[in-house]
Amino acid sequence: MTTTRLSSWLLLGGILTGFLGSAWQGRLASAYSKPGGFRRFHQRISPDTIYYPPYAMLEALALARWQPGKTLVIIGGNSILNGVGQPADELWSLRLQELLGDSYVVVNLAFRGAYPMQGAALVAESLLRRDIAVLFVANTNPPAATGRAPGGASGYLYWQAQYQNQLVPFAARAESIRRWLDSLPPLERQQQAEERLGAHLEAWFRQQSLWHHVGYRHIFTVWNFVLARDFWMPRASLPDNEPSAQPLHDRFQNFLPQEMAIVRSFSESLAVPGAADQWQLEAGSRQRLSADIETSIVPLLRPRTLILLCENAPYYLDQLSPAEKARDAFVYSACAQIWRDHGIACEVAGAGFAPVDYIDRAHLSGDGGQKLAQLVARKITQLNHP
Amino acid sequence: MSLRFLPKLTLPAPVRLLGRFLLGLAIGALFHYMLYRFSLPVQPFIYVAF
Amino acid sequence: MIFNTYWFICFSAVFFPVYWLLFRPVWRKPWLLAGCAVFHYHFAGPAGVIPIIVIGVATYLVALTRRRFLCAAGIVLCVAALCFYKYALFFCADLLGAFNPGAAAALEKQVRTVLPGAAPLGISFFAFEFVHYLVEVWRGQEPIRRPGDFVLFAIHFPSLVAGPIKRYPVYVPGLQAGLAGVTVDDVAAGAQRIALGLVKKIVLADNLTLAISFYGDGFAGLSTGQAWLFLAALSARILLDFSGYTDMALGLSRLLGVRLPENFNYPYAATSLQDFWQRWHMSLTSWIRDYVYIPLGGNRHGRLRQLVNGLIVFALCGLWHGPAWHFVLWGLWHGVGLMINFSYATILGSVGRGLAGVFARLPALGWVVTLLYVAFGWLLFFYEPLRAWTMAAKLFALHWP
Repeated sequence: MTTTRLSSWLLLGGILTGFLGSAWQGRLASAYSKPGGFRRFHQRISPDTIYYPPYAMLEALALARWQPGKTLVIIGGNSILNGVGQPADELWSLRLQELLGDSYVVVNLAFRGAYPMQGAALVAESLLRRDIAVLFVANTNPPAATGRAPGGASGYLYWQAQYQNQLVPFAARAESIRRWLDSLPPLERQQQAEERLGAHLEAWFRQQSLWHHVGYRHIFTVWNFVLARDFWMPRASLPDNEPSAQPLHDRFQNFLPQEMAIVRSFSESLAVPGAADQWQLEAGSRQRLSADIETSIVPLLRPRTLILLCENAPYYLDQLSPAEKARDAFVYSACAQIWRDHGIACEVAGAGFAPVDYIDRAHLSGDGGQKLAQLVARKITQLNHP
Repeated sequence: MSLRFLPKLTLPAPVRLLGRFLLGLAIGALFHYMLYRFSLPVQPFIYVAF
Repeated sequence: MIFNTYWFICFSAVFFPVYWLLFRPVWRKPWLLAGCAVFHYHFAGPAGVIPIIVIGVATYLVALTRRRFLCAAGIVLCVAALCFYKYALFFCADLLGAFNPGAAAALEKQVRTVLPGAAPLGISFFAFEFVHYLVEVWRGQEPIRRPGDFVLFAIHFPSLVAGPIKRYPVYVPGLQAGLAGVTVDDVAAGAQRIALGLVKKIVLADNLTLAISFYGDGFAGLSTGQAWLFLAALSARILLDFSGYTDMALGLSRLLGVRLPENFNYPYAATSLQDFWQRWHMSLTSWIRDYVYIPLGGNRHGRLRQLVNGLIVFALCGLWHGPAWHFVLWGLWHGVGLMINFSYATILGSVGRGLAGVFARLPALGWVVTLLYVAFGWLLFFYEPLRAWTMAAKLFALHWP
């Protein structure tokens, strides 16, 4: 063999070794890699800054918190339960841990912009399947209902969990996702196909686990405008910097007309006037919400789940007409009942909350977080000891 | 750019071969890294649009 | 997308090993044909494939006859297809609209009913390769007889979407060599080239693109120094993006044992604009030289005609990049630059000769001037003319308009 040919073989051998070696490192990282001193997926370790924690990291975080004999409370949902608006030390899930005491361990895996059945819900499902005592808490609003496990910024977690065989076989969910994929326009369908293929490859080569670990511990390699010049810094060196709430009089003025339109849309899309000045849920919406719940949440998880329907801030609700207020109250209570009808505990969160408990239309301040923690602690205890 | 001096730098064969293997390792790791990068928001090639 | 997709990774993981294992050309060729067809169909879809099949079949059959008027008709068909799919709306709205808005609106409405949502993938490259093929046959070269060879020339997947623009007298023998035997050296060289392209595109250009898109929106708020940095990033980004793509195309083709023409030769090391165009997108430059500039008369009819031909050629080169005025202006910017480059030594008399002497003695000065000229051109390439002008003014701490 000539030297040139030998050198080509060595290069190709090196490529194969380098690739497989990286995959092996990725497999190791998927078991141990997780943010240190974790409290939540704050902005600097979230998709907002092009950091997409792999599914294995979520599970590693949950398992690291869990201890035999204790109940693991997994918090999912969106930015409201993530604690946007609450500085790291005022995070509501820390208060929840204090209130629940030593027999519980709380881990906050909520993602900004996530639906209740994305991310954390999959971890809860996976751990329940392994007979670990888990309770799952997530939030939503009446029209959003369960959302869909794939799709959106956090949807990749579903495909990863699926192809890593972490989920309970659930035909209704698979069928609903298949129909959803078929209904997508070609470009979005292609994007979902790419996301699925990526998740398939992740199960084999663990590229997300390895390179997110490198990005967290050593160097991050993708520019983003939030971090701009600091984009390359290891995410471990960038602490949770969620700011404190603005002074009360500045909190609710931004985009007021748009925010009011959102507040109104929560109930007007679902309720229709019924007999004797009563409101009723529009039949199609009732059916859709019911079908959403039925096809999204595995039966195993339902008795271990608490869903919070989070109300909008009183500042906005106060600007509704009496009829709109009545409609709003009706929709929240009727939707909560639909969840309960499917064997899932559901509470409306926001009753008795003051303007100071919010930082904007939806997110809770430190004060609001304390109230939320009290409500959830009470409900969790009931759920665990019916 | 003049790179004419490069051929004059002849390294012993074993060193060159080791260098090729190490380059291969780096490329292999790069290919693995690319699998990660493809999942992130990808910019289309400018000229594909033409 | 295209090469940087999981689909392509999975496609490659199946396609290449099988190609290497099929030792005999008679087996390799159908496999390569199938791979190219699958690749083309996946990324272009039926709406993108059908027009290419139509003009491809016409081109192939017309060339087989070797009749000059049929070849000319084929060339017209290719150019017409390119104009229709890529420029029909531009002609309606921007050209006809300037003279007769009513007629333009009516025509645009008609055109939109027959025009697909997007132009067929790679139509600019298909059209240029087919025109090259027909012109060469028209000039007396032997056409490609075997349909399989022609199909592979047309849809050779590594170069299908963005070149380099191939020449069939070089491609077909290269294809036969690749089918006859891919060596481990080819595979190693190909892998190395792909890695280089990935680093340029994914590691460097994509990060620059994200940053440019963000700072471009807030360009007015940048300091003068930051604005210059922005211009440098813009210039680096297009080179890294396009040459990264070309590296991947060349590398992938080398994995098949087929060598494609180079497209870049350190263009930012050029010491004159003429030098730049001999180093940048070389397959396009040589195509335009051979099939537009020389047929227009090139430099054979005096200095003035040469300059006019240069301007026409570069305006067309700009338009080829997209149906928008800023591309045309970018082309003209380079056409004017080349005009000056060619003529200043003569026109300016002793001053010009002195200046030429300085540039000859100080290549670094020529390099700086060329780089700056090219960099300012990229503003026109990426932004609307008024915005590009405002950005250029900002670089000199001027505020206009």
